[in-house]
Amino acid sequence: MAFMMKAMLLNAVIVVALGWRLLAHGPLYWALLPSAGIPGISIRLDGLSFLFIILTAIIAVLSVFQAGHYFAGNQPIQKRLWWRVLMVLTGLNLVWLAGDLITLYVAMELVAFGVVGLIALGDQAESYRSALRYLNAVLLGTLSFLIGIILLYGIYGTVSLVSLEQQIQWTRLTGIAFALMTAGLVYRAALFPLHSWLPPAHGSSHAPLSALLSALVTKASFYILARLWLDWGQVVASPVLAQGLGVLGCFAILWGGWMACRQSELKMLVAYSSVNQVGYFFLLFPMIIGVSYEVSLLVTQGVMLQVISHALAKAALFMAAGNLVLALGSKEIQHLSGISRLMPLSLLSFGLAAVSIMGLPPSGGFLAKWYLLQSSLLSGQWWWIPTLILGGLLSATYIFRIFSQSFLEQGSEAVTQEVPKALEVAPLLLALMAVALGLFAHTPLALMIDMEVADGIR
Amino acid sequence: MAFDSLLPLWVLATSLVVAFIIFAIPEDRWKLRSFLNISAAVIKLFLVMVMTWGVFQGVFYQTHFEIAPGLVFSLKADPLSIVFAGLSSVLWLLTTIYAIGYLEGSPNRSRFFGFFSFCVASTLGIALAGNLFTFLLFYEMLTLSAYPLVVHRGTRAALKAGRVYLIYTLSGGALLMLGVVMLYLNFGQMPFNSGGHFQQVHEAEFPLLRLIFVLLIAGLAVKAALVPLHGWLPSAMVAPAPVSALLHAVAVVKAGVFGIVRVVYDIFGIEFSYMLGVLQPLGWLAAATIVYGSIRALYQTDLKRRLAFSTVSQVSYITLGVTLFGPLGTIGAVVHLVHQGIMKITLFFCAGNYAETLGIHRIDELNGVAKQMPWTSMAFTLGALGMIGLPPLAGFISKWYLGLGALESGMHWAVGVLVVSTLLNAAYFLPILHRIWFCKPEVVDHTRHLKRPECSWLLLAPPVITAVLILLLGVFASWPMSPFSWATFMANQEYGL
Repeated sequence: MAFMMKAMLLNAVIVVALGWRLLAHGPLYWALLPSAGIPGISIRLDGLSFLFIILTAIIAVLSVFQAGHYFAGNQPIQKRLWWRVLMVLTGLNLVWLAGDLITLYVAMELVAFGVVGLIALGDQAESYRSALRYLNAVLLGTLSFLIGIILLYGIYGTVSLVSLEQQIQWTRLTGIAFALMTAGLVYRAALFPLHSWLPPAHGSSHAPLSALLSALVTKASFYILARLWLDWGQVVASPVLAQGLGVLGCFAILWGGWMACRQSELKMLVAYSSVNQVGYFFLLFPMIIGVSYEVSLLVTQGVMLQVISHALAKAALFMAAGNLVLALGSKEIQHLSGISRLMPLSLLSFGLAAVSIMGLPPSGGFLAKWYLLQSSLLSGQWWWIPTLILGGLLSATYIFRIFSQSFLEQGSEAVTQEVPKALEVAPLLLALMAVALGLFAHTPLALMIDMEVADGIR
Repeated sequence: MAFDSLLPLWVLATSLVVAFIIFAIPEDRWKLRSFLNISAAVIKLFLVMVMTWGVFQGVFYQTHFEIAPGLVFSLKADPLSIVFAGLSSVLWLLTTIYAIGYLEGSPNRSRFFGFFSFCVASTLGIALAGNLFTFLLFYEMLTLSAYPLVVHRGTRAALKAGRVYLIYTLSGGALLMLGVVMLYLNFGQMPFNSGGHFQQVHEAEFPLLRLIFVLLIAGLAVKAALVPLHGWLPSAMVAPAPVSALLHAVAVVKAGVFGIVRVVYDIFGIEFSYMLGVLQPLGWLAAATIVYGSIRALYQTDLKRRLAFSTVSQVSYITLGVTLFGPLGTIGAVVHLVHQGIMKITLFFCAGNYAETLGIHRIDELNGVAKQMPWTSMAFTLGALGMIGLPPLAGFISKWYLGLGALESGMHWAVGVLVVSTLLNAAYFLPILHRIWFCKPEVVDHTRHLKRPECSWLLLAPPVITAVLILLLGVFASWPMSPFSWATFMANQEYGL
């Protein structure tokens, strides 16, 4: 734990240094061995990637803090835990920064293997099964991505994202490569109907780790996909594919919400809520293809805001849910009655985070919905609006199932266990951040576009 | 200067900060909690009074900052916000006192009073919101913060009512949000501006504007309990009495109507709305609600349910007044916003007292109750007579001006609606009064001593004070700084008189 905190401190220092570099000199592209003709190992730093680096630093330090207290006194797990967490974090930061496809591939594998290790820490047969299922999904996804990389390298002779952005043209083979990469990433991002591996993986692992997984790991695949589409989409993506992704996103919103309403276990409900929320991300693709520059900026901001607020809120939800489960000694939602008196702080964190998940003000989720509504109106793609509205109501339905149960006074008096106060700090902070994002969004929004613009001009 | 520009924020902060502190106070420290709660309410009342005086002197209070490009969080004080903020802060103080007495010894009080303050903060935010975006922000916050109050008892019935409440209000909120987004996208930012924004709009935009108007009003009508979107209000009656009082008089229902007032006067502008042809249908809807609510009220045997349907009817007077095109209708609408709140809160306080002291819930149990609870019955009577519109009580003033407004605007059918509704009001209130004062009680309670007050002064003082207010607001309506004068001031501004 002490060692991990030092690592986090170092991370913070690096983040500050990167931020300073970015502000002083603008976006940065750096390759290790450019002249030797060896492809790969390069770094791209711009506004968007910096935003994700900050997000990762915040969530990492809080989940490590949470995990440290959650597993306090459990040395065997601690011994196996930290190096896996570090592996995941390294992989994630590399994903945000990667400047070429090979680095991206390596980063993705790093994340994947770390995550498999984390899920398997559950030490039950169920956890092993979930871990294996996750591994299968990820390997399949990555394989598809790798074939795409090889095809592109064969055509253009480079894997650098910057040179590919300049050279890429519409050919049949490029289209196939692009579709393969998209398919692989979609699988890894758990988009409906390829989502079935996600809820058991997130629902069955320990709460602080679920927080890390759902907040950051699902975002990695989406982030890569979004960057590829933002860079090349206008050239190689077909509107049909884009609309298809949007439609799948809508199904994910509705199906995930519906499934979340039907879960009987608290953490499974939160996990299905991720399927529901990930759906919103995929509205990005239809609305950046074949639209004006303003719309594409607006929708990028909206979706990235959704990604970030979902990361903060979902981490808070999982941690708070973990505390509730710990206090109750039961995973079942129906045992929650009377919990509002026993664990008011955790329930408050849960509620604040839920405000963002439901897209109600003031929260990052609300602003994101505002932007998404605006961009669907501006792009003329009004057909996303009913899903946006229905999705919000569905998420309110599953969230209030929990509150309704927790306010219920009659029924069983649950056996409760003392929960350390330290465990209630991180979820509250994360939930407050998700809410505050709805009031102070200027800087994050500027980071999403200004650097992009500068990048485009360069 | 810094004080002036931050005053709206301070007004909000008094209840917002207290809400968070109260959450953290342990359950059994009720003295500390009550002290904090009441002092916050007093400080807020004082700040609102300072603000009222300032606005009267022509000071312009505004706080604003940009949340994201093009989205401004803005709080400001204009005559209309003063009217609503004044109402909420006076009634917050009284309801807090009442709630402390009402909930003495019951569980979960920290949670209750925390969300209670939260609810009031949201209401004040709605009153002071300077543009539609900020309004939406607080409108949804109110939806959420009122939920724990509605389900406070934690029974299955309460939870069911809470579910109904959420289904209605969250759907309404979603429609409202869509309307606001469309408005912002097509016509830019929407600061509340007396006279509205659309004096020079091309006719080609009219259909779009009509659509937006319908979305906005549909979203607001849910809270304002306009038929057919009123279903949640009667079922929310399972909440404890102070909550019903707050919900019906200031918080949720009023927020909806206040929103309608804002949208019609300060976004679309009354003249433009008239030109757009949207006022007439809204007026018919309001008239239908008035009559329907009254008729349903007649058939209720439960006292609180009868009061709830009475709210459905009475609150729509305000909407009806808004749709009457002319300054007199506006005065009637705005002044009824205040008068209805004070009258209805009196009635609910009294209903709560009957239930707490004698365990009376049904109307046929009220026989001869005046002997045992004379003060409460007196207050109830004033409230009921005010609702009927008996001069010189407050309700008379608002009905009189609504009637004048109807004649002025040439909407003569509205006078008919007012007359019918007054008759119906009398038909469902007078039998109650008759029972209270003139019927013989079936069982005489000999255990009570007449020397002892009829119930705790915490429960008695608030309805008595509001009952006196009903009388004063009626008699001294024309005094400066009265709600009536503010309404006149606001109407003159709107019509540029």
